[in-house]
Amino acid sequence: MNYRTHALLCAGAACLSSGADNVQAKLEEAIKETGLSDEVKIVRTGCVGSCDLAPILIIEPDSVFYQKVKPADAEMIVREHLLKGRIYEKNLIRDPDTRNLITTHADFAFFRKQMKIVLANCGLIDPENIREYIARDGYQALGKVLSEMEPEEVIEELETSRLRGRGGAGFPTGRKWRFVHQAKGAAKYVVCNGDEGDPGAFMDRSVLEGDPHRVIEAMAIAGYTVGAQKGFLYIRAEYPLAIRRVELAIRQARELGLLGRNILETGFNFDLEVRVGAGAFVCGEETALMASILGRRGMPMPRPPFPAISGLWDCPTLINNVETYANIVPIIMNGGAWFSRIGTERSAGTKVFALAGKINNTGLVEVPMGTTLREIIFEIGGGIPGGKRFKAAQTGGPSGGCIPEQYLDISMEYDTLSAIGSMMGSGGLIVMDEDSCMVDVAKFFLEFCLDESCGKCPPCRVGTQHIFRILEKISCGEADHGDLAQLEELAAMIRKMSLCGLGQTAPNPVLSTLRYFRDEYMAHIEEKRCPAKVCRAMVTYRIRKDTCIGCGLCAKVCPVNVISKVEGQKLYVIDETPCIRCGACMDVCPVGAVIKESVGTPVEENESCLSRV
Amino acid sequence: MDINDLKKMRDQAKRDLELRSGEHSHKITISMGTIGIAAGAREVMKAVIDELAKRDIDNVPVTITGSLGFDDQEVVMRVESADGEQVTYARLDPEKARLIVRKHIENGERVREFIVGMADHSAKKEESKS
Repeated sequence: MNYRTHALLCAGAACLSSGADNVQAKLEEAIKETGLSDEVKIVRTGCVGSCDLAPILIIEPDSVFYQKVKPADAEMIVREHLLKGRIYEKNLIRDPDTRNLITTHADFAFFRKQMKIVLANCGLIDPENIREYIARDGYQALGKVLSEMEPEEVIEELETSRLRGRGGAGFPTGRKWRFVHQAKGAAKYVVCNGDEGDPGAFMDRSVLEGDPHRVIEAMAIAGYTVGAQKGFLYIRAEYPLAIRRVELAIRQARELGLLGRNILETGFNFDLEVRVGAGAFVCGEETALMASILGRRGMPMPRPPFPAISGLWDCPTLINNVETYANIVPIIMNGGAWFSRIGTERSAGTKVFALAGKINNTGLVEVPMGTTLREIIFEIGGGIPGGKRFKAAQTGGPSGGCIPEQYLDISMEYDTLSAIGSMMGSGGLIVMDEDSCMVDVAKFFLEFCLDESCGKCPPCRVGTQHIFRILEKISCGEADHGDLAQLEELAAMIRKMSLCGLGQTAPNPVLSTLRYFRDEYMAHIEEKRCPAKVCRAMVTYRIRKDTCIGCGLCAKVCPVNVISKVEGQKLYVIDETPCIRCGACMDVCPVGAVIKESVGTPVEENESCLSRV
Repeated sequence: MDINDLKKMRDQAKRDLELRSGEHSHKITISMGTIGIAAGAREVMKAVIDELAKRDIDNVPVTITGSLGFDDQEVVMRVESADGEQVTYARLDPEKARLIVRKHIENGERVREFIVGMADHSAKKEESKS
């Protein structure tokens, strides 16, 4: 049966949680009612990338992009667009500057500036249907490798491509494969690190959910190249959809003889197994990840020996990140030379970033290495909402650092980011505006590492506790210069003495905010003032007499009942002493009469926020 | 399954996806306004889709649009070729539409007796440049 129209419904996690299933039910119902069942096919695709516009529906071959589709809109789209050929304008995107309607996603700046290699199939094919992957030349690279290439040639192709590990550290992938290829062992293993733990990063999840066969194919190629017959996909339990789709994809591949014994009748055997992690951040560290696969507690081991020599069951083990594997198939199909021409001299190819925070277009973007931060934030991301000023961007999650405004034109690649005290990491990119307090940001990331520290080595286990305590003191206005000196000393010590990457990088957010925003720390310490008005101990809420209309909403929502009406007047006042500075009154005030002000005096000792540490 | 089987499978599966990403030799647009529907545009479209499927032509998307304006001459269908040439056919029924698929799409001959209008957008652009 030939369908004249494909309705591509994004079934990524963001779209599903915004009700894509209900939209689909309504679409199906309306299509049936209008008698279009033989003409229109609904395809559930992987993540399209612009997750703030969820749920997303794209109508092909017209390439019309509908955003924020509710079930009622779905019915109208069927009746108007699919039945009568009229575009349903209500759900189109509007250009934020010109207010013009944007019909196709090719016209939307968010997509126009991107270059999709890793995410080429995400949002285009149905990840639960292996035929659609095969239609996009799926498993041809595996066929090519098995029938035409020696393992050595595969490694050479990877070396030519200059692909570096996308998990964060940026180790040359070709070299890693060579190590495992050359290592001697009774058996060898291939592992995919899908333990994506950075707050805000979700590109690995998106690839596993949207194009699982791409990773499976790459792992089979890796197995052939290094001499392994068994592979493990380590995915965290917080990604149930990814786990389900990967397991389905493995079953489909086995049925077609693309995994298992005698793959494509070439005599090569390779099979995969999914191992579900419990979601500990430390299990993204390769030695802890292997411990977890072996059923032990997820704790790191000192290296060497490196996994390439002695990994799972003491056998040589190849560990790569999801995004790294997702680059293998295009490299085999198009050649290493093609790949190395994309990006910059030191970092080839593209990188997927997860845009989040104070930015207009959030979601996944894939750009060539060397794209500037300014292009990503202002052209693709559409800038900062509410006309606020850009302050900094955090890359690399809790292990990374912040990039201040003066480096907006930095070329985004491994070495330039390390040089300014940040890192590529897995590609999380959190944007902060003038309302963000950098002490608070550092505290947030540090608290994450403190929670996630596995506790094996004291510098990380105890050190992060102490740093966090000092940061708390600073944000409560109770720190002095001695604390700052101790903070820096401890940070340097933890960095140097921790066993694994988690501890070694945990102080980075503190060190980089100290490097670029020292004045903010000083304002907290010397003037007991939070310039961004974030730290609760240093702000006070007040109701402006000239603006207040006396509606009493603020008094209603106040959780501690400290707002009262002024007798005989249409006016409310806040009693500052018992006020807990939650800001609920400010959120509900219909006329903006509640204002937040910086104060120079800390709260009383017995009410100090320190008491919770 | 060996590599050749995989290639065969890919070639088959590719047709399904061409609608989303492929190059098209022609594009068919059918006027599907209220009057078009009343005059039988849906039946014409189904016939076109069926005829294309019968002849294994899979790189021609069939889309619909609001009324093209020839309300007294419905059903109206426009065939656009890759080079920008547009031919508009009118007063169609399913049989006439099947004929257009066979002649125009498959063999590249226009069916003169049903044509109401022609526009060559590639040529127009050239003219406006000079």
